Amino acid sequence: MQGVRKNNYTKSLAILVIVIVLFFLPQYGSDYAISIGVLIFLYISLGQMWNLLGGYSGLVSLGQQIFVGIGGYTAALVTEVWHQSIAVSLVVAAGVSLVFAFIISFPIFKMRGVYFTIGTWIVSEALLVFFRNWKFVNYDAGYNITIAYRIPMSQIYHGALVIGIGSVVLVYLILRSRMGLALMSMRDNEGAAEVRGVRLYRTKLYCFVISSVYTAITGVVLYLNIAYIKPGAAFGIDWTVCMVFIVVIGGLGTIEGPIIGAVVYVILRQYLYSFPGISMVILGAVAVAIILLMPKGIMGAIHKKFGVEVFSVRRRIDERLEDGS
Amino acid sequence: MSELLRVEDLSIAFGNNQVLKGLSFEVNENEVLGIIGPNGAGKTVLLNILTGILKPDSGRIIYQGEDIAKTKIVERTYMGIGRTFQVPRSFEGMSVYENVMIGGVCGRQMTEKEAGAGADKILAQINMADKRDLLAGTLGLLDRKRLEIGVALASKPRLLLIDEAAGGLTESEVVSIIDIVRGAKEQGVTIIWIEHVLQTMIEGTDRTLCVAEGRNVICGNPRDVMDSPEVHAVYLGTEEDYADEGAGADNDIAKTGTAQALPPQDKTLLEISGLNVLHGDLQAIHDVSMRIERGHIVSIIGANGAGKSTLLNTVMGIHNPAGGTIVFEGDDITGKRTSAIAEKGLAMTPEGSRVFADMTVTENLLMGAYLPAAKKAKTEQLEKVFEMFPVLKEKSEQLASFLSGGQRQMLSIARAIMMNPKVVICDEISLGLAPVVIQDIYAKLKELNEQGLTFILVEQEIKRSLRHSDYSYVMVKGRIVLEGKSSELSRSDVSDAYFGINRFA
Amino acid sequence: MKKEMYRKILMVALCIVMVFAMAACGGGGSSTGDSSGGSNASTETTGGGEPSAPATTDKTEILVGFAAPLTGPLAIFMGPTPWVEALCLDAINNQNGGILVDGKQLPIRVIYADTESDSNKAMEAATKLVTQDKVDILVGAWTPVGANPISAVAERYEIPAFTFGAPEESWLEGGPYKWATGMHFNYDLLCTDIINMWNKLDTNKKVGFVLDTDVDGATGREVYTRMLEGTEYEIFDPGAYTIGTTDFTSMISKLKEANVEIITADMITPDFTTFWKQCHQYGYIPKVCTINKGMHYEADVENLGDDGGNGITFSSLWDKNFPFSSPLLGMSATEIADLWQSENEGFYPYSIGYDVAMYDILNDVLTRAGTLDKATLLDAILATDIDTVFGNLSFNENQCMVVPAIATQWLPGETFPFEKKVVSSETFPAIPSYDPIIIPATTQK
Repeated sequence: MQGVRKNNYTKSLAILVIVIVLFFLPQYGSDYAISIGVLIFLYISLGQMWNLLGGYSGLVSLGQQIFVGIGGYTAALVTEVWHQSIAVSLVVAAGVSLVFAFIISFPIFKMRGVYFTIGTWIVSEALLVFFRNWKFVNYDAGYNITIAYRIPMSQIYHGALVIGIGSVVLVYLILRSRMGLALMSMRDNEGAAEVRGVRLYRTKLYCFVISSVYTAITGVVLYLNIAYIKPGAAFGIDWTVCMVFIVVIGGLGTIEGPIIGAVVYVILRQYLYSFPGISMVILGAVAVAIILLMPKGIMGAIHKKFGVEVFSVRRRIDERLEDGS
Repeated sequence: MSELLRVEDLSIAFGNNQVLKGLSFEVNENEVLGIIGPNGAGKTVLLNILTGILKPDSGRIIYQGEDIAKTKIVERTYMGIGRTFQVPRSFEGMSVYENVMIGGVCGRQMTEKEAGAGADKILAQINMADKRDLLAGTLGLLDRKRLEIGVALASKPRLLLIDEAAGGLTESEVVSIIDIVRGAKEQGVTIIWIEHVLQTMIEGTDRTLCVAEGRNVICGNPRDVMDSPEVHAVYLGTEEDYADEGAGADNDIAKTGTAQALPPQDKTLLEISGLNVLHGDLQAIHDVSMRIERGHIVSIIGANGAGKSTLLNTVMGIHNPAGGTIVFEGDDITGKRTSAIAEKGLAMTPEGSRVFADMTVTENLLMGAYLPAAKKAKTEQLEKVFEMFPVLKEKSEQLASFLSGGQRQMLSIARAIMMNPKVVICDEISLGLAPVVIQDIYAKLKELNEQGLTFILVEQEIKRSLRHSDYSYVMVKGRIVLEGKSSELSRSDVSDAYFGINRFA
Repeated sequence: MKKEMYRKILMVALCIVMVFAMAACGGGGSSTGDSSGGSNASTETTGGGEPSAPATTDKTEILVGFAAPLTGPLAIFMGPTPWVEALCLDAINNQNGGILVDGKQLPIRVIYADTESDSNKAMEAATKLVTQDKVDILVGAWTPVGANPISAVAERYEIPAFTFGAPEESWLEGGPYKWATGMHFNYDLLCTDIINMWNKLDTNKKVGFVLDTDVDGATGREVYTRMLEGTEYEIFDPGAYTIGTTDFTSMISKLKEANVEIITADMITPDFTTFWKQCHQYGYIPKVCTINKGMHYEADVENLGDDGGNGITFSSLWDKNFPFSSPLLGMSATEIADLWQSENEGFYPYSIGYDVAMYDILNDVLTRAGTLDKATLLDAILATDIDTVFGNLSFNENQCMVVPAIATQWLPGETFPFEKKVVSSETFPAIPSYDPIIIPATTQK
């Protein structure tokens, strides 16, 4: 019993120390490190939310950029056109994405498996075309989010940090709750889950809505960082490519996976500036190599070899301990 | 005793196939009702209807006084109907403990704490407390079946539907399942138990219902039902199969088979020497040597986990041995690719028949004639096969997924024959089949054997194996512990070897 | 117990590595004569760019960071850039020995970061140039996707930026700017020139719109409608079309029925090619066809068939017949274009003008500033008054230098199947113009 308590304390302490160190990065880090940090934390959030859908609930979505776009455009419209604060844009983004997620769930959830996946992509492409032709959002011209120029990078960084860490916490709490058990059982065997009493539709819906709303909030800060938005960029499939890369390379169905994946993705792309023109080829080759060598992603490989799990979702009694002591 | 469930006049058809034809019966509170019946009788379909996965074409289902025909699956679970699946459907990526918790958390809306406490009790009940944190995907068959029941119990059902929990298990393993079911009954659960293993009906149920051709044929006290002329008519040969026989009696195939012509020169068709096979770190096969003679039927007997399937798969080239050789007709085929081995004339019907479910019967058979040599002879082989298995001819344009278990097994064998092989390896072809169907299949095997085809049969059932083979090997934990001419081996010798009583050093 | 320790150590090690990787990103990667303190006032994150102490002379080069579309659909604009860069940097670095800055003669080096023609990536590329490579000036170009995100990054990190190759109105949507400057064309002026050209021709004054649903189409509609109001021109608008449409026949029949003799089109080249061919098939040849956004390249005109492109007018952004020169190269526009044609294949691309002008301006600004201090550089930029291959350029109150976009017409040429002639330049009178012609009936097949 003692051993486990100590184990948990050490782990929690280590995590706390890291978070504090990262929090104070603006004090001692370079501008470059801060800008990288913003990207990493926001991508961690995107990855965690995609993982919640795809890695844990079995809902593979190619359309989460819908919500990135909704978040970004909310930030643009609220601050540029209506001159309200960023806090207002966060609230509005959450509200709009909530409603939109519910609305599209009706048709989308009628589809299963591959059809669901394609369905999500279709909705995002449709939204893209719609925005291009919509006067309300300035057609294809988009907006410069000028308020974002004056926000100190340290604030954007802290915002990203909160969102990134928040996403990890959120996913952890969900998976450790009853809904988490239901999600994992649905992922393993939907038919059996239903017979065991899992309300499939309801559970999928909650999961989808939570993931989408949080993605939208992440989108707000993403676009405060970029400070310029156009329909093609906001609703582009590139966002999904990024999410899938992060989750699959990092480790599908693990909480640590998207964290590792985001770090690898951002840092790798920084190095690829030295190889313009073939940067995409290299990125693809790296992805293929990792998948071949480590089919369960980097975290999967670490877990297999060393049995390490930082954020475990397994339910264990305190007496049961994984070391040999 | 009050009535918990009543089924009235239930009918359902799939396409042209009328599976249930006005089935009616009732189940009383806290009783264990066993349901037996030949394959294709509609037993699993019945369970699917009771749980809500299928909708009947007509009929009523009255549970706790209400007609639940329109109730959704999830609702029925909340109302206290739980079930196990014939092929266990556990949540592979979750631990045993978590699997059981799902039953409580989702089936009964309990909090995690309550569900956890309940799960511990259930794990003790099904004797799997020590396997608590193992991932369900890593479990063996008996454990999965026990887990299946455990998960169903976790949702605190009033009515528990068990679908063939004993299939594929050895006699001692079946006993542990019966104990678990008894324990559940003591807790007040009402149970409907579908089984093929007739022993469980007698020992484990209060009443037995026999369903055949979609109808209630007879229902009553288990022994009475077993003895009844109706059930005899359905099964044809219940008593013969399960009456205790002494050694050497009635080995029809064994006696007649070997008398047929054996090719004079080289009698040995397949020779395995000193085979060692590893599964990761685990040694699955230890130093196994066998010789199969042309024209023989050789049986390999052993419990679950004895290594029989591993052995067969190694012969077929699916696993690579760590040591030893396999020689077929003088050629060393050790470690060769499976396709090359198949071309040499070895065919296999894998465990669970594994037909191509989305292809028709004919297409499945034509797949058997895939290799160039077989392709040439395919039309005649097809005719030959249809002659031998008329039921396949009847269903030749139906999708294989619509066949019953026994018909699939026949299809699997027929497909192997289409390969025009020299030896057919049959991995547990009687699993899950009714005795009359098994008799039928073995008769066909005998026919084929008389025409010169060699067979290697892997079975769990001792009596049957001895009766139908020329030579037998008994395997325990990857080793051969006993071998000999089937006619000379006594049932008790084999049982002892099987259960590890070491009279043979 | 050992396994437990091993795991703990591994976890802690992993965490330390992650933290260091992030912090280390600050120093790694680029090759510049690395930081000496003061020259960058923006090392700390909060606002207020106050000039710091004069730069030390530790620097070995002047770094210009160009966030450019090296890949993607906009990459075509970057075609002649390497050639121009080689030519101009040779002049600056080798012939003049660099620029006198903070007491040292320093060469200019241009670093590129690929924006992949995507605005999201453009921001990241520009940020990397500013924070990691620590460039002295940021450059961004080609369409608002290239200009606007770079301007945003410049404003955020308070570094002077020079953007070009977009419509002034679109660029200004991101303003008002303090640190970002632009060299762009003005849509209103462009329309003025086009209408002037139409005035020179004998037509029934009926103008038909063939505009796409893109923002350029919407802008075009707005500007033309506004500028043609109260004039003798009559507008006929059959409605906008979606980019990538392959069937224009219904639109063409409406135009023909309405007897429209002047077409003003905002189309990308592939769409226009399809449209124009279908016009011929339908037997509808307007007297005037003006296209924005497309048909800037001679090869595209050849694609319309032997005679199909004869007489098409468009808004050209630079022409070798501009009577201007580059002070840095000491060559006239004509000489530069001819030089390109002698060293490369095909008709000269107009983007050469922009690239050359950029180096002219950079050279001038750095020389006048004499320092790499950002605030001083910005002042020097805004004070620019220089003759370039676009003529004399200086910044207006929007921090933009307006470059010509004048009406030009493709006509059969001598060296190449088609060559372009400026046919209306009233907004930039220094540029000589010829009379336009009505599209010859011979182009009808």
